[in-house]
Amino acid sequence: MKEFIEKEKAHLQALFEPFNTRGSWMTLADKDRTPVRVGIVDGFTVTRVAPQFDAGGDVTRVDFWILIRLSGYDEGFQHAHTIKVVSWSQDDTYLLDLLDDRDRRFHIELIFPDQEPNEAADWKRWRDYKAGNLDRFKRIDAELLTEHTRIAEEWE
Amino acid sequence: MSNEIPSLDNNGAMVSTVEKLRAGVPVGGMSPEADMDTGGASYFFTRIKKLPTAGGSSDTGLYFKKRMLQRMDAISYDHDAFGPVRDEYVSNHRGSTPEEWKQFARRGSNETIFKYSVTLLDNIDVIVVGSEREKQRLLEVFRNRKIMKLPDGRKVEDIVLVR
Repeated sequence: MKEFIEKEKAHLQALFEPFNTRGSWMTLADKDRTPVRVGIVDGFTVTRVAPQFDAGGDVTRVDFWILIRLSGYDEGFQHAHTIKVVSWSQDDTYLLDLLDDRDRRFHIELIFPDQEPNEAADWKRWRDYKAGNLDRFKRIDAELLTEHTRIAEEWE
Repeated sequence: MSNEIPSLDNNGAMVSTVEKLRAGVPVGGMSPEADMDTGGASYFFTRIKKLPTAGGSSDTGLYFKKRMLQRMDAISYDHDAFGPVRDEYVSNHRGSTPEEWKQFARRGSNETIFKYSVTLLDNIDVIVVGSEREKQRLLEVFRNRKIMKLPDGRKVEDIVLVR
């Protein structure tokens, strides 16, 4: 079981790697509501995986918890979020849709510099800022990961 | 907060994103836009946790007095709501009784937000730091501002705890 979970976690994390590497933006839509722009995402980290089984012991779906760090997350803990993802879909490699346990839909898209120069410039500015403050972000990231892993593990 | 000592300029007020922008306080790499559309940017964010002095959390951080939950502008959710304060979201999801607040405290991702700002000195209950060295550095910040006691009469050294 442990091996399955680790494998699944790595598989899910790989799904987010292009977005973590090249930058993305995200919108959030509550059920039956117009999507709200959440902003540019610094990165996604899968913190917990929970496979669901049928009576025969076969995996029917895999729920997972993800830590979402928005750009500017060093300005306050409210810019880092944990959500429980109950389903996801990917119609193309440059986008990803997540549905959480509160019926909220998170739409994520890669930043395309030629079509989204403002977002690309923000992404670059943010990455440069992080690169210039490596020690500070190393500490913040470690604290956030510890806190959000616990939030995911304590999730009822 | 492990390596960063909070500034005590302007009475050490904890301010919202909007207040920072209004006052011209420079933000580091980027002004987060996440809560601009939802109204959350006007609020200072906290979480409800059991106090370390009551056998609760030992996480480092600033622990404010419980009475703050009675502020008329305090909005508590049992979940990470991404800061929405618009439309009927508040009335549909807000918790406003001690029983609800206690229940919220059991969920790590709960959030309680306060309009604009929270002043530090008159609202702080305890500050938890990661080491004795950090405690000494923090006390020095208070001493440099000639703040030896809080408005409620407690000595500053008594409210700084080491995890």
